[in-house]
Amino acid sequence: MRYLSHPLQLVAGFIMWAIWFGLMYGFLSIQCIEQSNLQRFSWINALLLLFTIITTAILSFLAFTMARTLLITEKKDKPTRYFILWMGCCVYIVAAFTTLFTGSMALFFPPCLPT
Amino acid sequence: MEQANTDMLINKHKEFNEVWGNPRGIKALTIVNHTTMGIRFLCTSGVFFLIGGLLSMVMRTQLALPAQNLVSPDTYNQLFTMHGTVMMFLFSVPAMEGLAMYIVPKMIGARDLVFPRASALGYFCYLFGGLILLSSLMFSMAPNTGWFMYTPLTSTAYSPGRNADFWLLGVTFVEISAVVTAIELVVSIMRTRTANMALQHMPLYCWFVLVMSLMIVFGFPPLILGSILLELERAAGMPFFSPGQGGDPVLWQHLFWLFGHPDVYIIFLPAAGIVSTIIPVFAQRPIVGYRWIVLAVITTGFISFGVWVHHMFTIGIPKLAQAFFSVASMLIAIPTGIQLFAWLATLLAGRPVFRLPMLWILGFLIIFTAGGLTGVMLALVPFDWQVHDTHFVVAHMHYVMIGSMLFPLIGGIYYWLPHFTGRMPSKMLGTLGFWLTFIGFNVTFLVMHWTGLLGMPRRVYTYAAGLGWDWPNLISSVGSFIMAAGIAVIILDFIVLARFGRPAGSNPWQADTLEWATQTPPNPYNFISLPECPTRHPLWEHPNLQQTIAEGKHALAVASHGRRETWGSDPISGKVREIIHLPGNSWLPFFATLMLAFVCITLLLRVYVESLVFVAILMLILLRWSWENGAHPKAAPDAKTLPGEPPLHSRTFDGPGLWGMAISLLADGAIYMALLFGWFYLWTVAPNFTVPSHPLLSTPWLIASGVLLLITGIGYRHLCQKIRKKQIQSLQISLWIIAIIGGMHTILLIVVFKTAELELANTAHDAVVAVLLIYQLLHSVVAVIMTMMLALRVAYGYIGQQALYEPIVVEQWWLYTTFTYWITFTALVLFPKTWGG
Repeated sequence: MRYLSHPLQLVAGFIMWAIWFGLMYGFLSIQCIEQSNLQRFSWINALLLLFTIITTAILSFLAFTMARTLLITEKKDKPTRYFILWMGCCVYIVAAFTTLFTGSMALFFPPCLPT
Repeated sequence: MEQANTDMLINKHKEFNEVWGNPRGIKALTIVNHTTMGIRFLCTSGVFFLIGGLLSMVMRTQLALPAQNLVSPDTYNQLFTMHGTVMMFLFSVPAMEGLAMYIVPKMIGARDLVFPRASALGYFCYLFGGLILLSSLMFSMAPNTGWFMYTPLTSTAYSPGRNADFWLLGVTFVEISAVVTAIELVVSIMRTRTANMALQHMPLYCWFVLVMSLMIVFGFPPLILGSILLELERAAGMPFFSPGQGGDPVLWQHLFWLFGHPDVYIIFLPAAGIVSTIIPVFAQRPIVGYRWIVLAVITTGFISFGVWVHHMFTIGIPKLAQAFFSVASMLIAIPTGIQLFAWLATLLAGRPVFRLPMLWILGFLIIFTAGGLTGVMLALVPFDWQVHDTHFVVAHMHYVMIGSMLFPLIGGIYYWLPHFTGRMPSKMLGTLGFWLTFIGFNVTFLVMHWTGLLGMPRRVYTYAAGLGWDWPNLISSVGSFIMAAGIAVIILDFIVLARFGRPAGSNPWQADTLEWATQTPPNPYNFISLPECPTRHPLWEHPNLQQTIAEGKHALAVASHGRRETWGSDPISGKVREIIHLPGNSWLPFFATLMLAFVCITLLLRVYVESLVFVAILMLILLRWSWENGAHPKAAPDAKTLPGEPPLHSRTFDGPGLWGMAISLLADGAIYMALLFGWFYLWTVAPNFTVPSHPLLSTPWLIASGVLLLITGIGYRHLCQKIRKKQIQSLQISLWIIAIIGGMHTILLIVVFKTAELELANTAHDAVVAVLLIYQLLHSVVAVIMTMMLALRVAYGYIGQQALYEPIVVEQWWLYTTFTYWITFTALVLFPKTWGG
């Protein structure tokens, strides 16, 4: 499980968040151009929420995996590994929370309500 | 015996000075040392700060009373545009990068930054770019359309003069400097930490600078691209932002704010790094929550890229999309809050001593918290609509920028002044300067919130009496003069200190980090011997470290070989892997930048033949620059190291160049991604974007060219695998073959471009296609030139059995070029076939 303490874990959670965020915004924008009259809750909301839940679940699972490994890692013996595991775990948790919190807006607003 | 030791030490320092010393007079332009470069960056940005400040004083004088005519409307437009531009581009980022350039190598126990000549190039780009931009004021041609240069106001139809061109070319020039410096800082922090300084031992300031630099690498390219596109529109009529021909002005806003909002954090993070450095020193205890702060910094770095649209809430984006960005904008307050609580907890848990730098840090805590709160208010869409483009936003921005950047920066300068100069600042003048600045600032900008809530729009050169804005404006103007007096006192303090300051001695604040283990002021080589550092607080744990370092009791304490050396270490564990040998002083960065400045000026004058001549000279200089590498007589012809020491980096397969190339390609990739974003954005959003009825590009030729490139890329990769196994019997001939096939690919691509019959000035579609093809072409040409040069270097014996590092560096370029080519092919040829083509 060396990959769990790879330094990319310091940013992997946020890279996933960034991809999710870009896809959500891009998809929504394109749909709103094609269906500019869509001013009520629709399948777009459902799809956005589903995508949010899936991404949050993946991020949470990764956080859980990191946490499990973290608990069996001795800080004194392998301080660098411990540091990366701790950071990686927290990054996944923060990314999961950010994804869920941001994506939950699809519960409250119709997708293409103009300003 | 003692005398003999002293003599030996003196001789050793003399030996190091011969290798690392800085020349005087005109040859000072050849200096590449990070200490000098850092100070030059700081001093130059200080001068630009004063100029930007003077512009604001004229504005505040004009606004002090209603219906004044001190300056004309057009002059006022130039004043606010240049004030914002100077403060954002010529002061904030360069000052932070300059301080980082000075401090980071010393903090991580290195002798210099990893690409010293790039440091010099970065500085001269910054200086010349800044001068070109400021010269516009003397010609009364300064940019006058606001510091974010919105189109269509900046298009030729509405800004026919050269004003906008000064901005676009000057700022791009300065941004090259920022990106170059950022790349260098990233690689230096990752690869040149002293022995055993693992990631978890890195000083917090270095974490902040690392994240800042990576943010610059990803955040500045969209604006560089935007500026190039807008300049192409203005100079060549390519209508990227003209809605009538399929462009879209909102694309500019996206590209600008993709840079613009992360830029706020690019400025804030290093300042927060200063705070995280100073507070533990004066609280006399380690910082509380080291890991939480690192987590907060990484979080801020990422989320700051997801909030750019909150600058565009009023342009008509669907409400759900606004909600995404609104929430993200509120979320970013959380990591900032974590840092704030960690600082407060450190103060509470420690035994704080309130010396001069701490005053500025306390000022920062108050002002920045207030600015952060109004930031959360502005993240709320309905509130943002109410105060959009009013003085409330101006006040918020100054609370954030001055609170988060200027106060910590001045605090940091006071903290490191003994390091820069070897002298202590005056407590009386420093304290007076602080209080005048703090009071003046709050009088100016606290009241300005009120002016904004009363409805006063920003960027109006005057206002009628009786609207309720008279008193708030007068109070703000008085406050600004008090603040200016504060800045004047600080400058006086610096001048007095330089002349009469009390000698600082070593480590006057009893700090914990390695930069205080150098002499004050430092030698050009920082440390005569490089210590191990498996701790976050080397000087608290080893108070005599400065002495043992100066006595040469640690590693790499020899300079008789004539090389500038520092450790090359593992980016994670900090274990030493190789010795990095650094290039010395040179005229090359100066002349390269001079040519770049001539290119910039000739583009401004729109004399394109001359531009091409200067580009050609620039290319020659850059080729010469890269020629002096590896086993070249001016680099490291003799690779001998002491017994037990690791090899020189140029004799391994891993070195800073490899990392520099990788990080540069990340920046390059960010430009490419922004360009692709522009292509898809216009395709899907721009109302008049028209796709030609028949394909403009010859698909068979594009495929043929791509296949040749693929062969080249795969061939080069195969060659590098053999090089890693040291199977180099036919290295030179292989490189020539790859260069020839790459050349054939390039010629085919030129044929595709020439036969495409693009109507560059008529449709945005054709204009973007042209830019994508030119981007690809440039990469192919550079790849071929680099490969030819490698083949020549093999012939000269600079690359051989003992020094095989350089071809590995170029491998990444070939792979990147191949990869982007096929993405471009997909975007230009395959995508239109499936989506409305």
